[in-house]
Amino acid sequence: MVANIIIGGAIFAYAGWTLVRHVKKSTKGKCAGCSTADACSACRTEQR
Amino acid sequence: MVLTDLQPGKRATITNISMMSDILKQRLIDMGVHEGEEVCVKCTMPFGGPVMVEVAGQCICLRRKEAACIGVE
Amino acid sequence: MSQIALFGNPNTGKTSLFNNLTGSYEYVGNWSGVTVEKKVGILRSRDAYVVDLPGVYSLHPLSRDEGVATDFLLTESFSTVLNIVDASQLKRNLHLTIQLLEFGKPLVMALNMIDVAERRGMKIHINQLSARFGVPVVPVIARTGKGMDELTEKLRSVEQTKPFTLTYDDVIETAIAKISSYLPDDIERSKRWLALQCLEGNERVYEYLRAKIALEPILAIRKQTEESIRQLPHGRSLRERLHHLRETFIEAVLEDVVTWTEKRPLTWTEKIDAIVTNKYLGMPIFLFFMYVMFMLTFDWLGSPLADLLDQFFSGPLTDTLSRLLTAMGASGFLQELVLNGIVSGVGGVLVFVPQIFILFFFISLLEDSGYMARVAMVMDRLMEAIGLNGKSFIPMIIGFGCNVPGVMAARTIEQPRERLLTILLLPLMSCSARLPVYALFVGAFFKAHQASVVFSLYVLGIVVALLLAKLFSSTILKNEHSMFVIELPPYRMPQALTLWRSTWDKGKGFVRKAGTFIFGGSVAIWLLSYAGPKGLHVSMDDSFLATIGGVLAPILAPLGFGTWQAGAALLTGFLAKEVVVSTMNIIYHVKDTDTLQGLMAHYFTPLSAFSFMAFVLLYVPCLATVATIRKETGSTKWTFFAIGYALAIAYIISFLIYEGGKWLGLS
Repeated sequence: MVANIIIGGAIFAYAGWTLVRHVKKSTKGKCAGCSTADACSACRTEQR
Repeated sequence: MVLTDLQPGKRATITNISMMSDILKQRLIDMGVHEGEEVCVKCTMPFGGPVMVEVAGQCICLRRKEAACIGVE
Repeated sequence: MSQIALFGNPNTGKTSLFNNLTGSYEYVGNWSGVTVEKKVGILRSRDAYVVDLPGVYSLHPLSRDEGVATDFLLTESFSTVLNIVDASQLKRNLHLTIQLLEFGKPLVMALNMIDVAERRGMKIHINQLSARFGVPVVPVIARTGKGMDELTEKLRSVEQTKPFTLTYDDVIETAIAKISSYLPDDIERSKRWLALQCLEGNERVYEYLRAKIALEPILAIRKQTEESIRQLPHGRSLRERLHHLRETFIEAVLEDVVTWTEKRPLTWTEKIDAIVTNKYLGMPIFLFFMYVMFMLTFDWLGSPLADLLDQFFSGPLTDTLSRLLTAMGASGFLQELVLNGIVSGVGGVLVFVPQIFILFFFISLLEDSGYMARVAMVMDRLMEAIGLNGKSFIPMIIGFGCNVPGVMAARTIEQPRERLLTILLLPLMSCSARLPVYALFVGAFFKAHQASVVFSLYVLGIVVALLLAKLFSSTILKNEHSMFVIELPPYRMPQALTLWRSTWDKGKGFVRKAGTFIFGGSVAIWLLSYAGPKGLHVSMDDSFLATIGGVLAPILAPLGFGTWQAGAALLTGFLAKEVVVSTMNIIYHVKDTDTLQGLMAHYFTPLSAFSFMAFVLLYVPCLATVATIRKETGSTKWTFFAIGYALAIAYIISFLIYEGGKWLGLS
């Protein structure tokens, strides 16, 4: 039962965090929200 | 005569670029297209498409009606 | 730490040099305008920052990306300029060098592409070049990293010796003196440089000065000088005169610095160009290249690989996870969350990784070989007819990978309206995130013609974009004078390592997204499908997801997919288009793509499937693209316009496909 709560909690926490981060990054615009950001010269300063 | 009159493969010297619009002229000057430079038409695209010219060892592509504003001899 | 700014003409290898100096792996390509924004890295010796800037021909910008470089000079503080010079285009490159030297910061010249120069018959005497400009010159090969140690050494030790001054003619020197004496003494940039840039008519410099002093006296001096210059025998404009005087100086320098040997005959660039930019073959060759790309992605290579992955996810992986969960005593809730939510959602998208990598490989190939600029040239006639120019085609190809960098790449387009139009139409380019959606549906409904159906969707996107370009450019976005000038770089044999890195860098973003956002999205969607107004563990049709999707269903019915499932998938797809696939996997409760495809036959017909794919292609751009459009256009109005027209056009096209198809007797 304890394992259930821990695993379930971890999954939901991680899921929530990724969702919030995605929306935050995407709305920033430019490369932050882009899937090819690493390969792209355009995004640059925001990335690192 | 103008650049578009030039036969592909033939060389000529640019004599006049003053007929072009300012922004285009600056771009071409930046790329090394200016009076006194040698040009050579490499090829032209069909249906009135752009022309590819070689100037000072590099290839530049520009539209035919713009190339027609470059006087050559 | 001190900052080193990297300046150079477009496509001279700045980013390659930057990567080698800093040990980072930035994206490089063989066309002008790869870099459209500045980028900061740290020197390998960890004692200075290096700033990579977009390539410029002169400091007087014509397009948005070039403005970034000039703005950098005006607003940032840095200690050293690193000027990369293409040896094979020495004459043209040195114009920028002179302007940089006039700026007055210590400068180191990196001489790149000496091998190309030698092939053209140029022998460059480096010591003499260094002496004539009074700056250190280091020969480098930016692609391989040769000469980096010496360059780093020079960058750290360089000091301002005597300032470089090129004396122009009397008229111009008088004007410079007048402007300099008018400029306030506390100004932070070199007065001579500012005066010269004012004479050039540099708008960015005007803006910079306008914040400090009244500009009218300077403009008056400029006008007066312009008139005096016109009166000279040649009758040139002031800007041409400045260029001419620099050119005269450079030619005199080159007399001493370069010895010409015999030129080698026809290079292979010319031989290839004779074929790919052939009058009649140019366009067909490009289309053939695209076709091969799709066949490889969907038929020949991609699909078999995707099937293998799918088998792995649905078989061994699911079994192992399921056993593991049971062994741990996980509850039913947790089992369903992991197996129906995460494995279905994330796995369903990951399955398509091979296809996406193949697509990215081809885009990298296009970028690295030098073919990109040729495509722009081949396409220009068509683009001109619809009110754009050939350069707009480059962002569109980039957009096939991801729309966001495509929107950014539009910065290289000089004319503001053509640039805006390109940005607005870019979301119609089918990006890699839409690819899993197609792959899922064609696998289910068009097994025999996978590649051609997907190809038709890409073409649909392009055709719609072109038609709309014509519409917009002749109505709301009437064009000012359109122009098209592009440099055609020499071809370069793409190096395996560069290609792989470039492909991997693009593709890994997709994999990472699967592990983060798509994971999160899957969990959320699963939860919405698991819970409903009546409580947990309800039947799918009573879930929250069904309620939400059901709102859209009646609206979508005329398009052939009026189910709450389609509605829900499309809604979630706004966040990122791959999520459409995750949602479908979760909704239809299956663990592998094969079963899903079988089950989907109950909900879709081939016709409505095609209509759905067309809708996914055209409807709202994803969140990240919308935000980027907002940033790049600086206009909320145009951003809403981009969303609005896309929704409208998607609805119309899907409606026409479905109703037209029914009328033709298809199903």
